[in-house]
Amino acid sequence: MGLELDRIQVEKAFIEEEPYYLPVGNEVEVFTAAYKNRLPVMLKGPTGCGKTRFVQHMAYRLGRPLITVACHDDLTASDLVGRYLIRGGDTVWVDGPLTEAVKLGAICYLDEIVEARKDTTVVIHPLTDDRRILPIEKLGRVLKAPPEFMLVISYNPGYQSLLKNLKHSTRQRFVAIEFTFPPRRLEVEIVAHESGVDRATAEALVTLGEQIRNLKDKGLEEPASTRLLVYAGQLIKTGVEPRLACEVALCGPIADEPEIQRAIRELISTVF
Amino acid sequence: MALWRRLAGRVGLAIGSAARQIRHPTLHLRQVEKVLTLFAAGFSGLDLAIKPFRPKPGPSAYTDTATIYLPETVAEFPEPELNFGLYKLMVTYQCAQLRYGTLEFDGFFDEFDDPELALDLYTVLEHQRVEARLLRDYRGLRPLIEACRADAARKRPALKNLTPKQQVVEALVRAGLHLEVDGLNRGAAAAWERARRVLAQASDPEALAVHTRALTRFIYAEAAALPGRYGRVRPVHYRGEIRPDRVADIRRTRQQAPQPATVHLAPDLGDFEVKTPLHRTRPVDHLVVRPERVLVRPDRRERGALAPDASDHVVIADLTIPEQISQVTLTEADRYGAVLYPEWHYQLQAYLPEWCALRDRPLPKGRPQYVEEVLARYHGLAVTLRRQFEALRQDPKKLRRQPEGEEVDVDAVVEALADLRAGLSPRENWYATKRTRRRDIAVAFLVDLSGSSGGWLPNGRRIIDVEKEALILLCEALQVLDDRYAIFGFTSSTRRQCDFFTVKGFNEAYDETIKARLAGLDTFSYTRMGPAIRHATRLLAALDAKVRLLLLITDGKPNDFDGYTGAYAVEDTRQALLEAAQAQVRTFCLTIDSQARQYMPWMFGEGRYTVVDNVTTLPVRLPNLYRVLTSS
Repeated sequence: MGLELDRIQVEKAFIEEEPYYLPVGNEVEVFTAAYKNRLPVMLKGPTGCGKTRFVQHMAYRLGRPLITVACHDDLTASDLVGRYLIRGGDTVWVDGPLTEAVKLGAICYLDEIVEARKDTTVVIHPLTDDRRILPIEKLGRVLKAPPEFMLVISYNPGYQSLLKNLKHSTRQRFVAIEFTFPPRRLEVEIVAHESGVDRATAEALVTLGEQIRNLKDKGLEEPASTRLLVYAGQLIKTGVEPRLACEVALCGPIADEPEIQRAIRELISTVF
Repeated sequence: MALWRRLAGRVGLAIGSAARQIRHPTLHLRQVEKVLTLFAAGFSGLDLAIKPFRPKPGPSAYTDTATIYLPETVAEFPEPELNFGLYKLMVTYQCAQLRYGTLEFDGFFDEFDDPELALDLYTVLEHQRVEARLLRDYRGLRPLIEACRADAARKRPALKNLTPKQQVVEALVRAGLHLEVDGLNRGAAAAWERARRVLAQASDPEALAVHTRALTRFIYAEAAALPGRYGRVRPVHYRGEIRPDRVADIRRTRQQAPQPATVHLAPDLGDFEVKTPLHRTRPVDHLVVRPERVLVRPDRRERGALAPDASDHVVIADLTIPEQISQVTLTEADRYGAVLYPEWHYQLQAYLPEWCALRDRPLPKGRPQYVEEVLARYHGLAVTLRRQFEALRQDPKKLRRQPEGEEVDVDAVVEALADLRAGLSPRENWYATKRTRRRDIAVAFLVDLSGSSGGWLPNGRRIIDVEKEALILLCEALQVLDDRYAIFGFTSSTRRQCDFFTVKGFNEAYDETIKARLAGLDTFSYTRMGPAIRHATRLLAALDAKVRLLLLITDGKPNDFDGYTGAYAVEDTRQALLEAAQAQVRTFCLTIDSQARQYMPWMFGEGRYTVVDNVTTLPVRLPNLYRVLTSS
């Protein structure tokens, strides 16, 4: 039973230190405005472009605790809302992360929501319209969300399984903020800051990132993310030879086809 | 043998020009073409093809801005990786020329009495600039550039046998390759002295092509004054050549791309007379648009001709209509026995009612052994795919709160205990069981059987053959699943004849008949996607399934010869796909058109298509795609 719970990754905290985040457009203003108006927010974008970091940053800015749930395909409604557990001879109700977030007035971030079971998304519906309530069927109670509570979901539209798409009835309850990879100037700054490499190396990494992204749809389904560029930078910073660092961070994780891999390696050996 | 070659190579290096007589291992372009194409796409961000050519007198490369031409083989080095490196550097230089503005020289060479001399000077100077910039921006290239530069330097001709003009150009080449310049005759030496001073300016990575043109004029003035004729010097292999003629050819073809005809419609009754500047060279002075063919908004979709009332017409000025749209009419014979589908006219934002006549056609049967042969050839793959598909089926899910099952559902028991404490009567579904969830998927594979699928591949087979193999492997793999599936083919020759073939219906079992039809699949004429998608959607929508999927397999854009081209065809196809979405049919496209990125995101939507570059991998890609698309 403990196991069952551990499978949901619950991070709950007031964020003490400001998480590094470099705004690309007006996403900070939009998010803040949504928060003030108690609107739920959907973050759209490819993996590794800074969605999760953005939520952490916003939680810090707004001074709210953040509860993150990494959704997976076994995530059920009661995993979110809560369930009875046996303690000694008694049964004890334990809140799920969503219930907890509502009680705390926290920001609840459901990461990769499409991964969760279909019925799960229905639980969040009453929280996402003007009612802002969470019915807890098993307790026979209805929780009213305080004004500080905010629901945020992330969603990667590039996902190819047709069975994993967000229903329109769910999507249309959110304000959407679109994320893409940051423009060159900012991405260089992010890579330099996050990995600690010098500017020239960061420039080179971003050049390489752009070149690898040119291969999207030529056999690459998901291009090299900013996160992977940061990983490569971190490896270089700790003394790994740059070509090797790029190969393990930017080639292996994104490509399986030998020809694509070879092309990426050739790009690496051009830049580094 | 390999050792001998390596040794011979080293000796060859040591004795200079004799190296060319020693046979180095040969690298064929076809072995590395795919990697180089990907590399070019990544490096430049442009869609560039790679094709072989036979350069004379030595290896070289050039680009016409659409394609990079490389030697069929390279055998300059004893080390295979350096031969590949030479190919890679050639591609890098050609891409760099495109990115750094080298080829934007409209009319520049017309300024000169001797354009060949000017071109060679421009080439040397511009390549100095490109190389300086590459070395600055791509530190990884340095060892490769140095190796190729040293090799190119060894292969330069001696100065003394050249004419004075050639000597000036060759001196520049030599200096660029870090070679000594001596043995110039007197006139050439004086010109070279002055030219040498500006060479440093050409090698400034911050410089632009316009600076190179200024330097070219300066040195040209020096060199052109020398006596004798000018014959072109050999290109430096890794830097390649500049071919203004080929660049101009491509520019011309691009400009000649068909322009849509502009038709001005007047609000008068009767025939509209319109002046149309039509594309290509064919002058057409009038295009008559008759009222019954004037496009109608959906809410006025009456049958037959319109009432002769101006208010019934959709009248739009500056309307662009594909030329031939008004030239093909549906006769009664065309309509007889056909299913009529509307077509979307995007400029009118309206449907053309009953526009396309679609018919179910029988397929010829193929050789019965064909399927067995394919399976024998792909035996290993077939087994792997089957296993992978079995994994889809066996994906067991824990079903909770069951009245019976192999394990206890602790949550349910806890709840029951809680209910008991509270004095309620507990429900008795305390068990959990593992059971396969029904996939409940219906899928239609819609295969483009247009003539272009009959195109030949380098391995001597046709695209359609590989598509057939992919379909056969897919069918075999699907045997292990309960998914309902159908395979359809389509082709068209104008809106009068949209043909639809049923290779396998939803309710047909995969048996000998189906196998014979698969074997008999062949290519026909054009690709009118709209009606085929609408028809397949209709068939899918009639099924009761949780997930309905339409998977289109094509080799290019929608296209038919009665004006169903360009934006018109793309927009109609897109509309048909939107209709499918409305009918709860999900769509996905597998295309082998390398240009697909230009229209697919708009037509099918981002993430709703995939491009298979290497057609020969289709037998792996198609079943895998299906697996990914339908995995939960």
